[in-house]
Amino acid sequence: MQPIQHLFRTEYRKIISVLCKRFGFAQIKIAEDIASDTFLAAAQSWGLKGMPANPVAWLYHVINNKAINYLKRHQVFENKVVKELSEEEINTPELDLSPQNIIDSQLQMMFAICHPSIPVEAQVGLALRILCGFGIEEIADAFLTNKETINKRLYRAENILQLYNRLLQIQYSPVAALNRTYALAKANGKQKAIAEAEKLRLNDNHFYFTLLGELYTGIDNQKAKIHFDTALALAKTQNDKQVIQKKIGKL
Amino acid sequence: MQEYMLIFRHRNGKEVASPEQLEAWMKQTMDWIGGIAAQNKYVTGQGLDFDDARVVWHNNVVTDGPFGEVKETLGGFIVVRAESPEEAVEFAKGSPVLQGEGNSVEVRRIIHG
Repeated sequence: MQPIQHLFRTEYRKIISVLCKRFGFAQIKIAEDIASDTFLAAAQSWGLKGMPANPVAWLYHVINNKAINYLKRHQVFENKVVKELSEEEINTPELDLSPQNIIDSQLQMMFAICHPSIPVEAQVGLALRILCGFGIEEIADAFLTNKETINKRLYRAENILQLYNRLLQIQYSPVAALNRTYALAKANGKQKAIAEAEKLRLNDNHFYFTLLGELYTGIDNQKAKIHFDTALALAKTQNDKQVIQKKIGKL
Repeated sequence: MQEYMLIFRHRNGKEVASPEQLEAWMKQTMDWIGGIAAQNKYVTGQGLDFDDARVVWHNNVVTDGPFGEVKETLGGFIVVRAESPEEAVEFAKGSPVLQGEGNSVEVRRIIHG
């Protein structure tokens, strides 16, 4: 099993257990929602920025925040949870994610799932979902696919860039220069591409200003608009103008 | 517009680089040259091998190269087009060679005619 799947499965069980111990087992659906949200956030963030130095601490930090937010917002807190909690518990909204409490919580969870009042089939389902973290695997899989996809895209962009670097040495053309700059943006990021794009100075070329507009989109939308406007003025065919208009619309 | 030759010198020319370092180096160099070529200012360029180098002196005396007396060994060159020596210098500043302390890029205008 991949490390990320193993991590998710192990931590899911612990987190759900702590949340249920805190909120009560009747709130298990909410506990699962909070846990799933956290793992989804992890998959998205880690897919883009890479694994944090301490993934477990990252997860616990986020879970804590979500639990606190939940307690603050929800009516359930007023109507159900408050009645169950003592004064002391109300005043300490943070989750107790200490090793001892995690162990205690998991033990409680196991007894709860195996309680004779729950039908056996349901017990198996609960055990698989909560104790074994079976549902969480899909999220972990999404993370892996994301990471692979991102890596593949970077690899491809890098190769295309080397192709254009070489092509331009043999034979310069404005189109190759623009394509090279685009590949550079994909491989090394927009900021680097912007720096190089500014040097191209293909000032009579509407594709040039379209590229500049694209590169600035999301970084400096005002500049992007200026460049797109210039491109619009230089563009000759209706089709080209429409394409540029669409890009302006997306700003 | 004039043509300028940018000449690279390495302080430890014979220092052996690992395959990973060589690959990273090649990529940086190609990116640098690609940037100049994208501006339509690149003319030509070559790396120069340190192996099998010779120096021929006055009276046809031949010694092993590269030119050993000088501490910095010639690594290669590129030729660029530039509006001024200053622009050529700006190109030179981007060379990966300069990451090494003691390395240099000499900028010389090419005489045509």
